[in-house]
Amino acid sequence: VPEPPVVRKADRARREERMALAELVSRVVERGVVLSGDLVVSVGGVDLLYVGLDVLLATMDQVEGGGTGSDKDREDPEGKE
Amino acid sequence: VGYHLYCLVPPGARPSKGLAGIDGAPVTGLDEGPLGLWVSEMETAPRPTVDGIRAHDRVIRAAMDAGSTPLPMRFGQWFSNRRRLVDRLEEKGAAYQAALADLEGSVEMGVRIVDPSEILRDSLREQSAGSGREFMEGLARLQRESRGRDELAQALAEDLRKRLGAVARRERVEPLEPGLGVVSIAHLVARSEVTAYRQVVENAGRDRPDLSYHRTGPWPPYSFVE
Repeated sequence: VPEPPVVRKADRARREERMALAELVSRVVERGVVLSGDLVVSVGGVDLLYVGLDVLLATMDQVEGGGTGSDKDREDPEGKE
Repeated sequence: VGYHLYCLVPPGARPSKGLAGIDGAPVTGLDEGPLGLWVSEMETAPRPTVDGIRAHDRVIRAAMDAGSTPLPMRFGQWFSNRRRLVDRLEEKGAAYQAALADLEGSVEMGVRIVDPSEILRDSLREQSAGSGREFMEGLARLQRESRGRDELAQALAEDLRKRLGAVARRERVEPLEPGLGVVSIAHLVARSEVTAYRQVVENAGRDRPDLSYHRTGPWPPYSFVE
């Protein structure tokens, strides 16, 4: 009789870590007081205002894993006046 | 010199000596009229790295742990010089002063509610990646089941709202994409009610053994400022 499927321990730990990170990132990047206008933060040239948090986290995973950080950039938060 | 702004605090509130911010930059306190500011001098705007985001949050938590409830800034509030920072502050200074007074004594608590069976499905899907038919069948099943997710998220929030009563001053409900949970709910709670809050959420989770309730917090009130 095959054993019932279970979530692998490593998968569970990775998911819990992602959830904790998602709780943090969603607050720090998507909430909080915006004083300097509509700042635009982009990762890899993709405007984060138009991508979901899961995409952001996946991108960050890759960037952190790769350790280069070279594909991140952002526009001047004060905008062009 | 440029300034990265972490949070607004009552005037006179100062970071402890040695508090490090993004990229290890020292954190200093400034007073501008009725508001205090915790900032780091930075030549350029910080990049949105995970380490930077964690450092930003760590500084704001330090302000919260010092006693007063800060107004947390969204990551990336950088100004090329102090004059520009002050100009922006003056536009909304009265509103921020009122918000500080309104939030004083409160913290943000959170709960992320997860459907373990959903995670099991995701895990199986990943394990069977490459098996085209199983993968497509799994996706179709997820799509069918996702239709009821928003309704479930709202029902879970409603259940917590009733249980918490006056313990929660405000709430913010965010239904989640599959894989990250069913819903993330933030509540604004008096510091003195944190223990009561945790107990209520624990009881709610006990009554839903089919779901996992992950409590988070206390947080600075990110979800209750604009």
